[in-house]
This record gives sequence, structure tokens and C-alpha cells, in this order.
Amino acid sequence: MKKIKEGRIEEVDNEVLKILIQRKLVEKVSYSHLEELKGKEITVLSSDLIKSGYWREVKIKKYSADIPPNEIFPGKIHPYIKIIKEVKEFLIGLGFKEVKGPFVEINFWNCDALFMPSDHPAREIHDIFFIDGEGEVKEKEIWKNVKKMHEKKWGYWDEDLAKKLILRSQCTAVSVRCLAKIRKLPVKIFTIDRVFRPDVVDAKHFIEFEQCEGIVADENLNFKHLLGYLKEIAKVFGGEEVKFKPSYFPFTEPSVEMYVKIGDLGWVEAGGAGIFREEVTKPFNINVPVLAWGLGIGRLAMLKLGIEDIRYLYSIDLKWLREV
Amino acid sequence: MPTITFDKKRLVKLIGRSLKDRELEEIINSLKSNVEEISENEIKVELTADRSDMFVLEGFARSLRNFIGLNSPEIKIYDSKILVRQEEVPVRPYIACAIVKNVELEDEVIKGLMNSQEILHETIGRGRRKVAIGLHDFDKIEGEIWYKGVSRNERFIPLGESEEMSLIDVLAKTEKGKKYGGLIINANKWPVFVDDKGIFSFPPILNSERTKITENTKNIFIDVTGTDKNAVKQAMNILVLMFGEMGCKIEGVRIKGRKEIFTPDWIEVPIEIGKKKIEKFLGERFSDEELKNLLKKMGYKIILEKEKIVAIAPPYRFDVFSEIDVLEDIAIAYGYNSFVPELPNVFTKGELLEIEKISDEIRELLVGFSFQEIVRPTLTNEEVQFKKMMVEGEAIKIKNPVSELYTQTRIWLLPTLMDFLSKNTKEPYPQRIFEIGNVVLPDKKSENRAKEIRKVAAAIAANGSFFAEMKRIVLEIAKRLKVNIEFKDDKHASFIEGRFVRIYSAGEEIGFFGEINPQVLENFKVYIPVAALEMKISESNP
Repeated sequence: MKKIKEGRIEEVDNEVLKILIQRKLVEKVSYSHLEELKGKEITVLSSDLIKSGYWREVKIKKYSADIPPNEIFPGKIHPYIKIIKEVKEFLIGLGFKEVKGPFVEINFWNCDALFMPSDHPAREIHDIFFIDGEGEVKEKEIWKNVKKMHEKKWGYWDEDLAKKLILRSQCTAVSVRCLAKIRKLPVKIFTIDRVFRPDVVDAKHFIEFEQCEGIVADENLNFKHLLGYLKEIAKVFGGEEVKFKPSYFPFTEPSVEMYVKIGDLGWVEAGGAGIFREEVTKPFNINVPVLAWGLGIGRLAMLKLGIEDIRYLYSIDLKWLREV
Repeated sequence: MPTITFDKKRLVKLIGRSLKDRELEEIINSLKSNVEEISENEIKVELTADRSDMFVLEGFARSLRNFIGLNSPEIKIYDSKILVRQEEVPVRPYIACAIVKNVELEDEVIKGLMNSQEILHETIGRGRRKVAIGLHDFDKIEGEIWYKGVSRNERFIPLGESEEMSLIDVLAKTEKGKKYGGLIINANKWPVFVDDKGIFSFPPILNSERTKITENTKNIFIDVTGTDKNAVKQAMNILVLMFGEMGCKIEGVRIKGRKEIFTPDWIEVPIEIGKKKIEKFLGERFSDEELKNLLKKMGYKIILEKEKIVAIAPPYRFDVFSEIDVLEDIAIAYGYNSFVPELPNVFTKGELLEIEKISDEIRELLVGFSFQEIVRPTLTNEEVQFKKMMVEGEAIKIKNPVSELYTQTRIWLLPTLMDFLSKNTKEPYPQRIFEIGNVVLPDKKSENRAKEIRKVAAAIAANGSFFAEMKRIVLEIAKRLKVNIEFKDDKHASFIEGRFVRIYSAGEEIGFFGEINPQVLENFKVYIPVAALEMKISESNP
């Protein structure tokens, strides 16, 4: 073997060589076909030329920098998915755990458990996609408590409406399902997922879009802590300043809107939040404050990508995806 | 969240202090509402649904006036001693009435009244279903007033007409009748107010010509009718607020049905809160003096005690019914930006869901194989998902679709990719695309009657053969999923015969790959060979 390695192949016994080749320890190659390239100009360098050392005997043609490149399209992660991933990592850094809920929801979890009265305008067919059939809420005690709460505070409750199947219209449905599962405090969870709305599609509306929501539940939380978390979460927008404004959501009180100051754009609405009303938490036997927040993830993505049309986030335009 | 345009000059006049646009905007935005536009004469505001008292100009002005520390006049209800007799009218069982004395109805005031009335009809009234309001010249009403249900053949001269009409004709022939007739058409008896001279109000449709409001009207009779007791009360109290702010004298009316009641039901709402609770909830300690001023800014009266306070909300604040509502108003009055945000010392460990971790790994793998990721909606249609793919199947259908493109959930991803390719035939090939997303299938056994599956699908549209490469990618994905897989040749209408393979893991089918049937390519107008794969990543139930 040593002799072969050193190129003294003539000194090796022919029989031994045969066995070595059979055992695939040695490979027989012939470079005789390269003989004719000697002194010539070649375009493509080959592995044989390098192994045999013949590369020293040939002239390699020069390339010009003016050659047009081949059209090769790199594989890429969708820009929106990338931003979602960044936000997820950011939230995980703040100690939030990711959760999920189903697209096809029972109206109960989407609205009733959030103390939205049966005849709330946002529950009508202009705001929610309905599906044939009824679902089943297995948490019988929560069902009963929610029923009692609606009857006590709103004076009525449409049980049949609560059973109806829908496509979830808000990710708060995911948060409220989590309330049903709380066993130990503190709880910090988030979700970034699809919601569905029967909107006419235009630059500002798409029938589906992502919402980013989360809750914090613990003893002794107060309004200042809500603002504290919001200020922290707003940092994902990269803004310099945060300001808050009172707002209204049916399931939180107080309710807050958050604005972030971003360079030339000025104040941009970054999200909404609040403390769940007792009418929401009591049916779940939760007696501590639950901070609930939502982040305008679509808006964030549009800002980062410099687009003004939400449809690009779900683009069917391959050219744009290849270039962005 | 209604958006309402107010007359700026009247607003400023009502507030009683001249304010610059910037100041107005700041005050309004501090009170939950959002200013959308301010012009020379108008101000367009998006209001929150809970503050119905701010839907009318006078109520809006009162909130602003209180907020800047000015005093608002107290609104009192006097007793008119007038009796309204109420019969049972099942289609609109609840009523409230009041009399407004000494009104001065200039043109612009009448215009404002009509405007506010329409806003209340649309918002609290939900298109007059829950509540309808009628305003009449009280001095034109004669004798006893009755609310009763009558036959559709009764007659009166409706507002804006010169001839008597039967109620059924009012529904058939007048604009308002056509618009709102559906609310009562199925009832046996239709609701009317009558006096000695006959019908003078036909709620929720039309008033009478006889009692119509003109600039000469001095006294107004208000009728509010509806299907929701609370909404009727709410609408009435907002009208009281409105006329009270205009400086009119308001008189209540006795309504004698099965019981006798007095309307308007103008009652303040006292709410007790412990001072400790305020501090604990808001994270801020306020002195008695501060609490008094903060609550006054929000229109409350306050009784201070040693350990607690009693906050008394005005009768038009229907959004205030528990402690938390008062706490919120204290925070609003103090100013959200006056609080110093704090992060509590709560330690929790953040974590990504397993299904997302695996999805990310597969994402990176496919990017390594030079695929471009796409993100598309979950909703699709019969044509794309089944017909063009030459298969049959059952999806979850939407009952109220808004576009024929989105009528059902996708039950597989491949049609999404084919649809994508069909919209990009002008773009250079090869086109290598993939999507990781959820499909939703009917599932009778689940609590939500659906099953959601996270899947990955990839397609290569290019000249050449990519069957073998697809198989390699399938094997690589299986590695990431940590499953052992087997292949089985099979048939599938969407694929070329003999070029379709099903993928199994532990006896369960988890996906397939192959080359797309040229007929399917033709259906999608994709005139280049396509090889594709689809695999299940994970299944999830609620």
C-alpha cells in the first residue's frame, strides 16, 4: 500500500494488486484521455485534471465579469412567517408560552365566554362566518356559569346561538379556552394564529388574517402592570416611545389602546389590551386579575415590509415573493 | 363603534369654553373616542359602543365639559300627572313616555333632533327593532292617550301625506313602511298611540301628520317603544339628557298597564368601592380630594367615607354597573399616560409549541432544497379544491360567504399550490414552492365537529423529471418527523397513472407524492410538468 501511495506501482506484485482492487482498497484509473489536452486551452476544470496533475499542462480560459448570470431562484422562508417567528421568539424571551386553539369554533368560546351579549352587533353575519351544525361544550360547569352570568347581567341568553359553529373571529377565543385550563399561577401564554371575518377583500381587509394575543394571570396584578407589559411588548415594533389611550372592548375593563412612535411615520397603533372583566373570569372560578393583550401583528409586518396592502401578506404573486 | 359627525360650533357653544382643535382632539381621545377628522365646521368622531350617552351632541358636549372641570346643570324630572294607558302589544311590549316643555325649535335644532333620533334608532335601536322613538307636538294631542294594538285596517294620516291611509297601506306604500314593515308585519295587532282624535303614532314606522313637530312647537311628547326593556329605558334617558342639556323642562308620565310605572326612569346608580381596592387595582394611591375631582371629571357625584367611597353615576350612564366601571373611569380621569408602567416580578419560562418547532425544521429543510415558501388562506372553493383536481370530497362549508372564491375550508394543500402556479405562469421556471398550513376536515366526533391537520405540501413546476427528487424530499421530511415510512404505488385522479405513491407510517397514511395528471395541469392552465408532495405534520383537536 505504501508503495502505491508513493507512486512506485511497478514494484507491486500483479496478484497482490488484483486482490487490493477486488477489496476496493485500490482504484484503477487511467488518465491517458487527458494526454491530448496538453498545452491546450480548456473552459471547464475537472476533478480528473486536478487529481492527475494535468492541470499544470493546460491553459484555463479567462471569464469576463460581464457574463449574464443564470436565473437561479433561491429558496426562501415567506417574509411574513419570518416576522411572525421573530415576534414569537421575542415573546418567549418575555416568558410567554405558546398555545393554540381550533379554527372551527363553538360560538360559546368565541363570544359568550367573553361576556358578549347574545345580540351584540359583532356577533351578526357581517362579522362572523357561520357553519352548519352545533358544537358541544364539554366543560358543563363553565357553560352553566356563563349562562348564569349572562342571564344575571344582560337579562337573557340565547343558548342555541352559543352552540352554533363558526370560524373563530378573534384569537381571544384561544385565550379564554386557556382560562378553562388554568390550574397553577402564574400563567403567561400567547398565540399567533388565523382568524376569519366576512369582509370584502381590499387593501385593508382580507377574509383571514393573523392575530397575536396573550394573557397574564397572577395574584396582585394591577393596571400599572398591564401598562408595563404593553410597553415591553411594544418594543417589538422598534418604536422610540409608547403612549396609551382608553378604549373599549366588550370583555376587558379597563381597556387600552397602545401607540408606538416610529420615525417618520409618527404614532402607529400597535395593539389593544385590558384586564378581563370579572364577568369573564368568574365563570371559570378565577379570582385573580387576568391581563389580556393583543398585538397588531399584521400592521407590524406591513410596516417592516414597507407595504400598504394587506393582501401581500398572503400574496399569490411569485415575482414579489422572489424579490422581497 | 359608530362614527358620528358633530357640528363643531354647536359643540363648542354647548361646552361653554372655546377650545382649539388640538385641545378638542386631545380631550376627546382621552375619553375613549377617536377623532377622525376636524374641519372648520364639523368634527368626525369614532365613538365606543359602551358610551351611548355620547352618541348625541348634547351628551357628547356634557362629557367634554365635565372632563375639563366645568360644571354641568343638574337635570331633574317633574311630574306631569299625565296618564298613558297601556294595553298589551306583544310585538312591541315596552314603552316609555315623557313631555318636554318650553322648547325653542330653530331650524338647526330640529335638524339636530332628527339626526340624533336616527343615530339612536341605528345604534341602541338596532334599526328600530329594539327601540323606536317618536317625537310629537304635545299641544296637538287631545284627551286620553292610549298605547294599544289595533287591526291593520285602522286609518290615519301619516307624516308627510295628505290623505288618510290604512296601516297596511302605510307599510306597502310609504318609504319608511317598506323599510321597517318587516318588524311588525307578522303580528296580529299593530302598535299605535291614539288620543281622542285617533292614531297619532305608528311605531316603529311613522308619526302622524297631525302631531308633527314644527318650528312653532313649544311642547314635545316623546314616545319610545321597543322589544327590549333596558334599551327602551336607555334611549329615553339619552333623550332626557339631550333636552335637559338644551335647558328644557322635562316632565314624566305615568304609564298604566298591568302595573303603573313612571317614566323616564331617571335614577342615579350608586356604587360602593373600598379605598384599598382602588389602590390595589390601579396600583396608585389617591387622596379623598383627588378621588372627588377625578370622579367629578367623569360626571359622578361622590360620597366619601373612611374606608370606602360611594360613586354615584348619572342616570344616562348605562355602561356603569359595577366597581370595575368606576375604577376605569378613575383611571381615565387621571390619564392613562400619568401612570408609570411597571413590570411585575413574575418568573415564567417561555416556550414554542412542538408543532411549530417541527414546522420550522421542515421549513428550513425545504428552503435548503430551493423551495419558496407561500402563505395562502385556509378558505377556498369547490372548483379549485375538487373539480379542477378531478376528485370528490367533503369540506366544511360557510353559510354566509362573501365571495365565491372563499366558500369552504381546504381539506388538502395541493390545490392551493396548483392555484398559485396557475396565477404565475408568466414567471420564469423552474418554480419550486411549498406551504406549511392547516387543513380542516369535517369530524362528527369532535366537540367542534372538525379536525385540523397541520400539513406540508411542495411542488416543482419545471421541465424534466422530479419524481425521484420528490421521494428524496419525502424521506428527509420523514426524518424530521422522526417516523419510519413505507411507500405504496397507488392510483389518484389528480396524478399520472403509475406515478403516484402513498406514504404510510405505522399503517396509517400520512401523505403522498407523484406527478400531476396533465388533465389537471390543463384545468389550471399550467403548461409545464408538476411534481408534488403532501404530508401530515401533526393533528390537533381543541
